[in-house]
Parts: sequence; C-alpha cells; structure tokens
Amino acid sequence: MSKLAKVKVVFPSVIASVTAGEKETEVSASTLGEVIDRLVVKYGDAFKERIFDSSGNLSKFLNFYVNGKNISFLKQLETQLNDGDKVLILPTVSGG
Amino acid sequence: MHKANALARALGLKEVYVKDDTVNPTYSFKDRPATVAVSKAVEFGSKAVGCASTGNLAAATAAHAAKAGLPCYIFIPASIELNKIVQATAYGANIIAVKGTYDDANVLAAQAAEIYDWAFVNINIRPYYVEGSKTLAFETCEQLDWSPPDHVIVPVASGALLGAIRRGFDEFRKLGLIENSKIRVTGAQPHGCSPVVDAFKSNSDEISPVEQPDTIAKSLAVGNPGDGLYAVRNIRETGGVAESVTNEEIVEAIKLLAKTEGIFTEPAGGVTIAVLKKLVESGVVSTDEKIVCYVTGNGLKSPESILEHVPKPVEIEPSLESLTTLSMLGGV
Repeated sequence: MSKLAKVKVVFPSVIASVTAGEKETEVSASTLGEVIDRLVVKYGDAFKERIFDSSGNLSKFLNFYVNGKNISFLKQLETQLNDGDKVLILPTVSGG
Repeated sequence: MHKANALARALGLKEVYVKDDTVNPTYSFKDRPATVAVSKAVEFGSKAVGCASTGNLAAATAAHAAKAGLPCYIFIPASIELNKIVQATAYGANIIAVKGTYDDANVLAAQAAEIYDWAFVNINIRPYYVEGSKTLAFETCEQLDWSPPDHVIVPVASGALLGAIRRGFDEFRKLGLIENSKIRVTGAQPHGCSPVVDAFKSNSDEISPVEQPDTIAKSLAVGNPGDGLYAVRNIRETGGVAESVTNEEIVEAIKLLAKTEGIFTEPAGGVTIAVLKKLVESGVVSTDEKIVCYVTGNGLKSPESILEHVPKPVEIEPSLESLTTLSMLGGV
C-alpha cells in the first residue's frame, strides 16, 4: 500500500453547497482518486453527484488541478500525491 | 457587415459576407460581452472588474471599466502580443502578467475570484458576459434583411462565441423574426491549439486539453476550452463542421482578406477565412451557399504575425529618376 500523503483540497464556491459550506479541507491519501473517495465519504451523495457524471466519470464541468497542473496532463485519478500537495477544483470556465 | 464580392470570387463562391468586428471600440468582438458584463458589475455593486485574457478581452474589459469608473485587474499570459497589453494599460487597467499559458492565468484568476469581491467578466459573471456575443447573430440577421445565411464560420477559442451565435439565431427563429431554415455553424481553429476540431473529427464527446498551445493565433490559444464540449455539440447539431489550419494558411488568409476586401484582421480572422478556403477546396462548402465569416479582431493588434510575410518597402533617392526606374510601377 502506498504511503498516505496529507494534502489540502480547495473547493470553488459553486460546490460549497455540497461541502457544508467548507471551501477547503485536508485529506490523507496516496492518489487523487483516494482523495475523491474520502471526500465522498465525508460529504455524501450530493457531493458525489457534483463530482461525477451519470456514467461515473469525472464531471466535464469541473477541472481538477494538483499543484496548479491540470490532471489531464498528469495521471488523472491515478496521480500520485505527496505531503503538502494542493488539490484545486474549479468550474470549467475560460476564455470567451 | 460587408458583402465580400472580391473574396467570394477569389474563393469561387457566389455569396460571402464578412461580419467585421475589427472596427469595434476596442477593435475586437470582445466589446460585445464586456459591455454586458461590466454593466452587470455596476448593477451588482462590485468593487472592481477583472478577467483572464489572451489580449482582446483585456482591452475590452479595461475600456468598459474605465468608462464605468471601476478599477480593473487583468490576468494575461506573459507571452501575448505587447500591443494588446499597451492598449489595456492605456485604459488604466492593472495588468498582471502570469508566467505561463492562458489557462495558467485563468486558473489564477478563478482562484482570485474566490477571495476578492470583484466581477471577473469571464468567470463569476460569465452567464451575463456570454449573452453579449449573441448580438453577432442578431446583427447578421438584421443586416441581411432578415434573410439568414446558410452557413457561418466562427473562430473558436473557449467555444463560447460559437454557442452564443447559434443561440442568437435560435432565439430569432423562436421569435419568428427569421424563417425556420437551418444555419450551419462551423468552428475554425488553428493547428497547435485545436481541441474542439480534434474532438469533432474523432467523433468524441471528450475535449482533450492542449497543454502548450503553439500558434500565431494567440487569441485562439485556449488549450482547455471551457465551452469546448458545447461547441462540438452546437457544430454537430447544426450540421456544421470543425476544421483547423496551419500558420502559413492563416497568414495567406490574412493577406487574402486584406487584398480583396480591405479588411486587416488579426490571426483569428485569418483562421476563419483560411478554414472557409479549405472547406471550399475540399467540397464541404458548396459554391451556392450564402456564407457569413466572423472576423473578430483587428490586424493592428498583432502586426508581428505577418510582418515577415509582407513585402518590405522599396527605398529610393528623392528624385523622379529613381522613381521612374522602379519596376513596381509597371509602366504606369
């Protein structure tokens, strides 16, 4: 089993309604997927429904970053984490 | 809107129009969404406005903020054309040049929107912002005397403009202002940053972000387009296509539009024209279609993109003898 890393997770206001108003939290996990699993346990089904689409894939309406890097350019949910890493969730808005 | 007869002849088409947004107040289409967004910021009592921008939105937001008397904070990728920064700076905006791509600047702006009481026009006030671009469809209908086009070619960065144009046509249909005919909406992107085209061509519903966009069309260099998925759907649903073009094709198209219609566009408009040319050559566009090309920004925004591709001035002595020996005069 991989070593658990203590990471900070930051949420956007648009999902604060499903995180009991919390805008950040700390989680111990070895991968991003484990972070999400723990958050689902903590916040429940409403949170899960915002993070995943009906097919069980990460929502196309949110972007996930680890230390500022989009996980599309890392290993998606398999991205390994280290102590002090910052996981950022943002709505997919850009440009115009 | 210009009826582009010379361009149409050059491309072998019968009826082409150019919707020319090179002559807007800040010289790009971004005045349309920015004016709506800043007006809403005033209405909401926001302390400041801001945006992440590849350049054109920076200038538009800064200008409208100046007129509204609001402080303005602009997040830009440090690599964009200097001319675009100068323009926004002149309007009094605070420019924050982020060492990274547009998407890096946008992520930072999105985080800033969480902690400051500012109206970020393309982030937390986006639902209003995007509505402004619908006027490109409204004006197209009006200027074509309520006889809408068969096909429109739209440059795609985030994909929001394409969606707004499609929605504008749909709303006019529902209001009965235009007939219920189909308007094909085609998306145009540059090679080096074409995630929407890639998704369309691979028949995918997944947008694969481009980590390091590489194109002279800096205003289209949005590697992770927020409305990319919607753009693909809008293109498919309207029977349009998505196509990309090379830097060389973009430069040739900029020159073609300038020489045939007297319109000097930034590379994004070159992408539009180059894609039309490519679609004509491949038979995707038929010669009798009534086509509108959206040319969304002024060439003076980024003259460096074609500087090396236009003839240099011929230097002569200040004498008639020197002048009359020039071959370029062609015996006139």
